[in-house]
Amino acid sequence: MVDYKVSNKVFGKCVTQKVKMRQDKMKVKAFDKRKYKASFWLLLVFLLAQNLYSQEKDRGYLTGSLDVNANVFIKDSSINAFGLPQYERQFFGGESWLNLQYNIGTLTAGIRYDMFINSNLRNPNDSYSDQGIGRWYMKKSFDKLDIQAGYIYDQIGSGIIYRSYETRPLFIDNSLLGASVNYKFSDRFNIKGFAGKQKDAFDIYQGTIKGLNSELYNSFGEENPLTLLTGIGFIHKTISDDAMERVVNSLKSYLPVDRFGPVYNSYAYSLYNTLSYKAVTWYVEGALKSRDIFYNPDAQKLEPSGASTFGKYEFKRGSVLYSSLSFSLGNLSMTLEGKRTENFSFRIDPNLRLLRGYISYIPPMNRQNTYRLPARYAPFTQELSEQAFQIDAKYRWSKKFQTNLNVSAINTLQNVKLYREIYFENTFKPNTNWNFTFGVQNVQYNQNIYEQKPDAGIVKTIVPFTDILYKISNKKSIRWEAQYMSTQQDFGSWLYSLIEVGLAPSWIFETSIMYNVDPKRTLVGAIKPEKILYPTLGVTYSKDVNRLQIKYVKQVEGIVCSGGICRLEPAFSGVRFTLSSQL
Amino acid sequence: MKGNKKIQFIYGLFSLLFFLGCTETPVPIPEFELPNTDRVVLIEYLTGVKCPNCPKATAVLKNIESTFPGKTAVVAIHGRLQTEPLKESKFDFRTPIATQLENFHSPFLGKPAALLNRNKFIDEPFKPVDLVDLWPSYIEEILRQEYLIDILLSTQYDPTTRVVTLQASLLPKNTISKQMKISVFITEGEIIDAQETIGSIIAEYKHENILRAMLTNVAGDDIQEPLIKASPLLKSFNYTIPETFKPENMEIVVAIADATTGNIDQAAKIKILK
Repeated sequence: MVDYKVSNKVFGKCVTQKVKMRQDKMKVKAFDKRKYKASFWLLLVFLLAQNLYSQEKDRGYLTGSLDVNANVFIKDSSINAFGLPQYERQFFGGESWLNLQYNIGTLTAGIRYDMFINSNLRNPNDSYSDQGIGRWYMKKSFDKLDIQAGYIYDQIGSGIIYRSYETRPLFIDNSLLGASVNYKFSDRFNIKGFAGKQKDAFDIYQGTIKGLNSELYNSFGEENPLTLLTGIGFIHKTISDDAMERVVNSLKSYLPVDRFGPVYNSYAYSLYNTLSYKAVTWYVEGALKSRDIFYNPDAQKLEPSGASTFGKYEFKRGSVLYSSLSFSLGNLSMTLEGKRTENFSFRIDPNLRLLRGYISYIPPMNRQNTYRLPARYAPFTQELSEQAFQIDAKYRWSKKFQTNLNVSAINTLQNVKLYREIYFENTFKPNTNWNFTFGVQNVQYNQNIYEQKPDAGIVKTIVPFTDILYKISNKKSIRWEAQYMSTQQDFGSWLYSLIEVGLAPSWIFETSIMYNVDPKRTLVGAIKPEKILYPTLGVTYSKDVNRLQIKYVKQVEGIVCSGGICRLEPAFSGVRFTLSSQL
Repeated sequence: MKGNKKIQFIYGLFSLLFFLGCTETPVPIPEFELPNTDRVVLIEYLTGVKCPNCPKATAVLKNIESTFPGKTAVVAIHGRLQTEPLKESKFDFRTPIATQLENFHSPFLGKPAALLNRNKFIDEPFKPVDLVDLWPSYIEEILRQEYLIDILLSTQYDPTTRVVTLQASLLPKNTISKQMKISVFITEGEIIDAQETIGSIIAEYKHENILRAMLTNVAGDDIQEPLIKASPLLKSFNYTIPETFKPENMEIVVAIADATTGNIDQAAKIKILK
């Protein structure tokens, strides 16, 4: 039974006007876009004119870069690489970023043109096409004052309350379209303020972000000084009317037990300090967030039918405590890290999901692995409930031999095991021609929570690995990687091997295989788990500041991560071309 | 000393900001009011047996049906994503037409998602709405808008031939000059089979509104006849029900769309056996 009350007629009238309001909002958005573009050109002309006038003798210079990814999709139903528009009808997709920056005197102006054609970056399970100016900005220094306008990348402390950055493989670009002012009272004390709206591909979110950040540097002692870099940060977020309307409309269908009175504004505060003394560096940051609306997929919601479902909006305070201690003792160097996160989902719009609309960035608490199989299971930073620690130790036995041990453990605040990793690596360099790396990794990964796969439970893996580099001559080298992943879960055990031949300074040839030696998962269309070979064949050519790579790739479904932000990507089959060029 | 005063001032200012969060008055949540309309909203639900969040979405759909009684028509599309049968599955709900329809509605962020009258809502990245909690409010919004056509449905079923004949009577509220399209969906419910959910498999899950066939194109067929005020237009369709389907659990859903925007104007549903 539904127990809604039919009482508020005024609201009914308001809803009937929604269509007109929405049309008005669309017009406002289009006007906003034109307004921002016009502002950019006006500001650019003004600043360039001003700079050219005042610094006639100072000649400016132009720098830039071009990055291109192009994929040819070759349907292969044996590895689940099918069904997407790129495999079925588009066959080609790619992205490019052309970045130009002009410097003259104390003025810097930049522009970036982004293009996505049948791209699988925004949504790995679909196709996305769009193009336009992805970024523009201008920076100018006046004595102690620095000003910046346009799309701004920045962060406060380690980024817990605010970080605007770009990570292309995950289609994250949450730069702030606005202005920033930084005033340096002295070499050791500054204050910075900024305000604007967050970028959303070629659009902007309508909520606003305002921030303040001040840092103070202190030094005590002469010979071995103890230094302190203390910072304080503040973020004020106002969600848009549209976002609030969506929250209110959702809450309207909630039973009273799950309802709350939402507010437009929320605030986040951060206090951080870096202490350095001799070989010791200690960083600590505490962040608090005022009561804020966020969606908790694990929260229980009571439905009108009496049943409970998972997932609802909540309105709670949040906190993060993070600390990192690094030190060296003779041949030993260590880093200890700890973190506690509670209800720290801080987005520009609480209705956004996945990797969209992040204001905060919570540092990961695991090793960022680069080898293929050790990197296969990586944890996604949990913003609502996480407690974690990590130890990373390096010991140099001699000039030729070094050991690295990394241990990380991540749980929820309710002590549900999320992730464990023990990583042990040795590097042995007997002479200038040989370099041996070998080790073993043990991982426990809660696939149920990270990938929402039922019956997956904890994936347990043991991965021995080796990497041997032999320099045949000054110009020729050969490198061999071998890894074996032993696991009874998910896809089962894997073997990976890579051979790379380098012909300096221009050519690198590589071939690799990934083989499902003990398969546990039955793919679509198969009757039982099958042993499947995933080969790669590629060549890289570098000349001056240009780098071109072409690869034939068959790649299994897996997690792609960058700094603790991850997503599950489907299998890939086809040819990948990349071009990276500095202009 | 002078520098220290500046620092004290700045840090004092930050301390004051700390108390800002206490002052705002919460936005009141209005009570729900059922719109007084004969409009029916077409809900095209993108789902799959391997979609762990879909049981929650299905529960929300049930609540929507009881919140807006008779004002929704649901078609569950088991297309290409997360639809491969589970080890525990007895049936395969995928059909070429479901795949075609899901492709037609791409792109979308993930499942579950639903198209509500095929509208593109402002601030939604795509037509399919992936945030389940927003479905009731969007449906309410659609129900408060004007529409152009009423639909009356009747069926005749011949158990010998298993042929069902649908008569759809379209009643324009005003003369319509623009091109309109008609779509006809055949669905089946009450099928007990496995379904993935978060953390487990439900072996005996009741699947409802599964799309079995379409008697038109996925985008709808053009209505060639003029749509004149108060002049009912009769459209007739036949469908032979396969032996494996149960007519008593089947429904026909009809939707009329604006050919230019693709948005659904009006929908209607009828059980094959009353």
